[in-house]
Amino acid sequence: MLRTVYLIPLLPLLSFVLITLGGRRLPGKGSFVAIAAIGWGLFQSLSIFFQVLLSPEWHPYHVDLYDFLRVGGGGNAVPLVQIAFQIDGLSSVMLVVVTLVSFLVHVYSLGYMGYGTHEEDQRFSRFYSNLSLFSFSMLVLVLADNYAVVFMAWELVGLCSYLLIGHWFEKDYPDPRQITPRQAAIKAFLTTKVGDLGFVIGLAWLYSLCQAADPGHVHFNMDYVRETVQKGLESGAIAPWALTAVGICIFFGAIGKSAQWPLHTWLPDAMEGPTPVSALIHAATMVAAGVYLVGRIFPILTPDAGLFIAYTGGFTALFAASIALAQNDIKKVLAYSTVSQLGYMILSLGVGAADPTGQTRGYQSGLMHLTTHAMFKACLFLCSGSVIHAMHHALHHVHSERDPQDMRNMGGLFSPTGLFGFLETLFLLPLMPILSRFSPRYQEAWSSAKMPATFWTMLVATVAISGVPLFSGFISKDAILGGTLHFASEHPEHALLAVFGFGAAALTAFYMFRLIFMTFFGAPRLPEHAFEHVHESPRVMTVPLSILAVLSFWIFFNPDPTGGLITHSHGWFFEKVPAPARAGLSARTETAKPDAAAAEASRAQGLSLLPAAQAEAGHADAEGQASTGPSGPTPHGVSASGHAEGAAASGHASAHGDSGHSIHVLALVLSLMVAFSGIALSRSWYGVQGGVPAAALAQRWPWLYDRLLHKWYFDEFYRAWVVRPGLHLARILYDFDMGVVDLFVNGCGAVAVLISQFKGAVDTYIVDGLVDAVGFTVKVFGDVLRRLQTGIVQSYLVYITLLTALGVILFELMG
Amino acid sequence: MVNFPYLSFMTFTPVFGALFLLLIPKENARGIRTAAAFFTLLTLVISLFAWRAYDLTLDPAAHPVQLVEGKAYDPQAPDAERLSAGSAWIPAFHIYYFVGVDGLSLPLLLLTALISTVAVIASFNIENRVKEYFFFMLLLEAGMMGVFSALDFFLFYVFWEVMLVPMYFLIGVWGGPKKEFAAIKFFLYTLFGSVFMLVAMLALYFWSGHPDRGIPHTFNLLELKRQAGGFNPAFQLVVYWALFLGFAIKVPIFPFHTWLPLAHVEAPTAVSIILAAVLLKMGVYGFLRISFPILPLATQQYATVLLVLGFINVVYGAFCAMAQSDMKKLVAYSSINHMGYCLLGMASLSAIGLNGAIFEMLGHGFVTGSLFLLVGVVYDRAHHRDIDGFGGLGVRVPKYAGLMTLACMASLGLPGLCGFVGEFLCLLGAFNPNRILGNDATFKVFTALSVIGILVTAGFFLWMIQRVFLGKLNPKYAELPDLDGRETVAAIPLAVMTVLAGVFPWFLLKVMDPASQALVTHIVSHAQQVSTSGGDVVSWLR
Repeated sequence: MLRTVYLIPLLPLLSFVLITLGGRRLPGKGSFVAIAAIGWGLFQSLSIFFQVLLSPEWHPYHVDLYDFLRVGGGGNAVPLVQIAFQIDGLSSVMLVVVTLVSFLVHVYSLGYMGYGTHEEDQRFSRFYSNLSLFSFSMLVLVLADNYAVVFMAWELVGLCSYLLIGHWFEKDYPDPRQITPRQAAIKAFLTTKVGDLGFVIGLAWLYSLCQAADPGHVHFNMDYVRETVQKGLESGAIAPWALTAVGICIFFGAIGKSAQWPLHTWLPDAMEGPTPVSALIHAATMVAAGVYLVGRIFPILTPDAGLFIAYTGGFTALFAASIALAQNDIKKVLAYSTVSQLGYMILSLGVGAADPTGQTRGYQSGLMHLTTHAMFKACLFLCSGSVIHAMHHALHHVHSERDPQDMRNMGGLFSPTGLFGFLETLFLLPLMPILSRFSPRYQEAWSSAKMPATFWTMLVATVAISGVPLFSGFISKDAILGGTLHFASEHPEHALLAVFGFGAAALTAFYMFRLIFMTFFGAPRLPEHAFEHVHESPRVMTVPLSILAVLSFWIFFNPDPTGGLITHSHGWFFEKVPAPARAGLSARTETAKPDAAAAEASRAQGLSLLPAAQAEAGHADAEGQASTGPSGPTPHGVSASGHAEGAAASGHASAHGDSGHSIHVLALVLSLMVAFSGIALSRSWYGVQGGVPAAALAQRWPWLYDRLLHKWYFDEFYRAWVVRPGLHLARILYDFDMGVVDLFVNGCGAVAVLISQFKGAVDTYIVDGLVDAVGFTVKVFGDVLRRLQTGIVQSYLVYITLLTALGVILFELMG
Repeated sequence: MVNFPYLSFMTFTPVFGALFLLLIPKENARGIRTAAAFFTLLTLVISLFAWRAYDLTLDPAAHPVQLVEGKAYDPQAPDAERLSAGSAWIPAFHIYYFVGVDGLSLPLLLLTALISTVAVIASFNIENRVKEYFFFMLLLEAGMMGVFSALDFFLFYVFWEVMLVPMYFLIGVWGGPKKEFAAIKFFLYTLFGSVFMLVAMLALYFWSGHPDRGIPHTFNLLELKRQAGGFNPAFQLVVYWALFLGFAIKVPIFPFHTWLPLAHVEAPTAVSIILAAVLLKMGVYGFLRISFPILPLATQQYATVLLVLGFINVVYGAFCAMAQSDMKKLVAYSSINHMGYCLLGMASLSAIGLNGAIFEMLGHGFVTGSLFLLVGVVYDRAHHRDIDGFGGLGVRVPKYAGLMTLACMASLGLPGLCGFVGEFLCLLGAFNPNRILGNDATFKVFTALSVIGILVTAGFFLWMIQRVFLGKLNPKYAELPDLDGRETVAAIPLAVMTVLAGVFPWFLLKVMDPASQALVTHIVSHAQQVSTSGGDVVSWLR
């Protein structure tokens, strides 16, 4: 299984090629081929994952496929870019996440794209071929062992995103201001490309740094880069500020791809793509690639770069959540929620990188949230797809032009009779199938439920994202908030980060339940005859929903629903995805003491700070610490530990001291408080008949509401200050090209022509004129003299006589 | 070992073909087309064999060029031996028919053979004066082959000029509405540059060797390279700029580029393909074959100028392309943009950058070749190329749309397609220039600024795709036919190469890399020699 890991991306690639060439002639018009390919991938990924999970100590497994670029060096040196894969804890988890969500989306899309029905999408095969291409690219991205290969896959997933957002490329809206799928596709591609420019520069710069540290043969292999950077920092060949800058440059790629502020605007518009695509690409996997990238460059991040990352992520989390409050399109709410959750992950990784002790465990928390989020967010999107599918169907039936995605048209999709309040639903519905046997009231409610499976799964996912205990989101979010609070308590000047985190958590709970209330509860806002046509989606759609909903429970991530307070274990994720050894750490000690003589000592101190801190924390439980951790005062402790899990000693709750413990408890209490207050507020505003209507609130704070509704006017800002000036500049430069450069060239030509005309004139009138003048003179004389030569002897005699006479007279006169 | 004269065959098969065409009656258009296709295909086959015969295991130091005909060139041999490599052509002036290839020219020869074949197939729909048309096409191919295989400056110059004539007629007779003007502008502009090249060539000739010591003057490019250390800085400066004019116009480098969009717009499809895919490469090739090795000091001195010009080409070309509404003009400006990457890579004087420049030449050949080909296809059907005049064609002509999208994606540098490799290497090289250049920061800043070009390139290509293929189908083109068999045959090889070179770049790069390494070593050794032995010389240059 391990040795053939390349099959996991290769099969979807083959499927892409097959469907592109063979198209509709294949089984299931190509969809079955795609499903089989990704299904195999899922199977193999699961087996690899369990292999990693069950092995007591996992060493990263490397597979070299082929040389991509090789410059200089003989056959045995490592090439500049090598297509190579690695299986470590992180990539094994990511494999499962990607293949699982992708597989479920492949299956779900059979229903959503109407396979075999009269509503089948007209480019059904193309849809599946693009899905396959995406799966291939994304799998290469998570497997790649090399920053350059990551970048290549990174661009490819961007292409797939472009193709899939623009899947319905002929669609137009009556309102010209509403963005069409094809415009959204371009917007997504270009906006992420802006971030990629930073990525490219970062890679090139990273190359220079490595070259400075290791003048020999440089390449982009991840382990090599980490070791070389470490070496360079120690020898002083790499300036810490440069490493910080490189980290930030590469992080720009993540800002674009993970839709962080200020490049977040493309993601909500990307919702123009088919909903399964939104679930797969724009919620669970591709947008999380930015987070994954930060995880992969984590070893070379300096604490300063970490702070930059943390603030970007934290601000985005809060900022995007604020926009989600006021959106009415069900997918837009989810999209901003995704942006906000990605901000969380980035915040967490940033905090982890900013914290040299590794006690915040931001690395693991952030990546764990990536995993849990992939499940419940994919579930949410697929549920919304199910709702939209039903709405579309119903509205289509009555030939209504209403927007099937607008939550203001929904309502009552779960319980139209309005029999149940929210709390009743929440607590009694698990028992509903049984209760309905006994109570006619419940039986009526149950049988009239419009979309029970969709509702249930969506509710589970919503609860998970809101951070309610017993769900996966709670564990990961609590870990992030705990880490952030820990960091803030040690660095009070960065308390803002914790505010971002908790603020966003409260808003998330609020707007997610707003979504649930507006969609499923209350009186139906569809026309009566349309509402009759609302049906639950087919099995092929609801089964994937159920699987994802089940995976949103806590048990799959940690048997302890508090995330470690009871069992003192953070679950398998923290163990199997240990924070990597960090080369970038040495940078801080270097900046702290620039004095060259003191540098060596301080470096040793800085590196041993980590185990020292752990010792101070006074944990009795020393298991694994002494043996695996860099506990000795070795000056190069971090580099010596290599990939060892103990590097940050973070797989163990014991890494926390008492203070860490109490902060964790505080964080847990706080996060529970904000989550439940968010839910409660949402219920009082949207869930209860006669509560504070949202419209009244909008009227009370018109300024704020307007900003939220218009997403803080970022689109307008970019249009006015980036897009239009860019087009103007193009116009101006082209005019310059034609009007100045080319005019000059043509002018030169014209001048040459003029000069030659002048010379021609000179030639004609002066040079040739002189020649002609000579001839003319001769001719004139000739003409005159010719007349004398008549041939008549008498005339000659007369001339002679006259001339003689004339001569004699002249002679006489002069004499 | 008896060497098969691959290079002469590649150069003169088209000439023979051109003469053969003259024997076919002009009414027999079908026969003429078949014969033309046959001869280009034959050339392609020979060049594939040449590719196979090229021995990668040979040490480039001992065998700087391979497939030499006549007397081989051995760097270790005594002067008289070396100087008479090849076969004597005009002995009085020490002019030799000296041809050979290295990692720089071999890929370009292959590109030329491939592109010529594609171009001939793409011109099967020419109905007007078929015989003359293909006659000139074959002549053009011969000229291009000659330029890339010549190792004698005089021979190089002859082929360089030979190319101009068929090009002039191809644009001037079979072109668009302003064909005469475009043809004359192209011809005169290039001629203007080559006059300076001629002067430079003669200067090099008379400065080379020591006739009084019995070492004759020479046109041999390898020999001139060997004597590079003997050319004093002032001389190098003058010659460098004279050559620069000749090559810069061909590349084209801003501000010598304005003949290009015009020539492209007016030229028939196949000529556009050749112009973009092969002719533009000759400028860069000239730099790498002549200026860089023979004038290392000047090269070192003016690398920064090339860098800045490269930056301008990248960004300026991209923005100008953004402003176009004619598809052909858009692609033409994108060529200027892409040649900018070559300049960046070259300017860095690093192995990575030079490899990037050579790879970019190839990649641009495949990609822009197919772009012009496909634009030509739609022009044949719709009789216009106005980007805004289409809409929604993606539904109607999926095959065409797919190939076009592939070419656009390759051009905007999507990994997995060949455009990416060249761009990546050029940028990486330019960001990490050779140490002999000394001004690292300038290179980093300009390279970082150049990436704006990537964004704009993506912008205008996507914008074009959107306007032409996406949206609702324009009812005017509801019956537009998709690619027919002939067009597919022409387009597929380029598409295949685009993907192949993008996924497995190493199979091309392994040929180029030794040449780039050797060139870098050569420049570095000469730059260092002077800067250590005569610091005053360097300070004088500054």
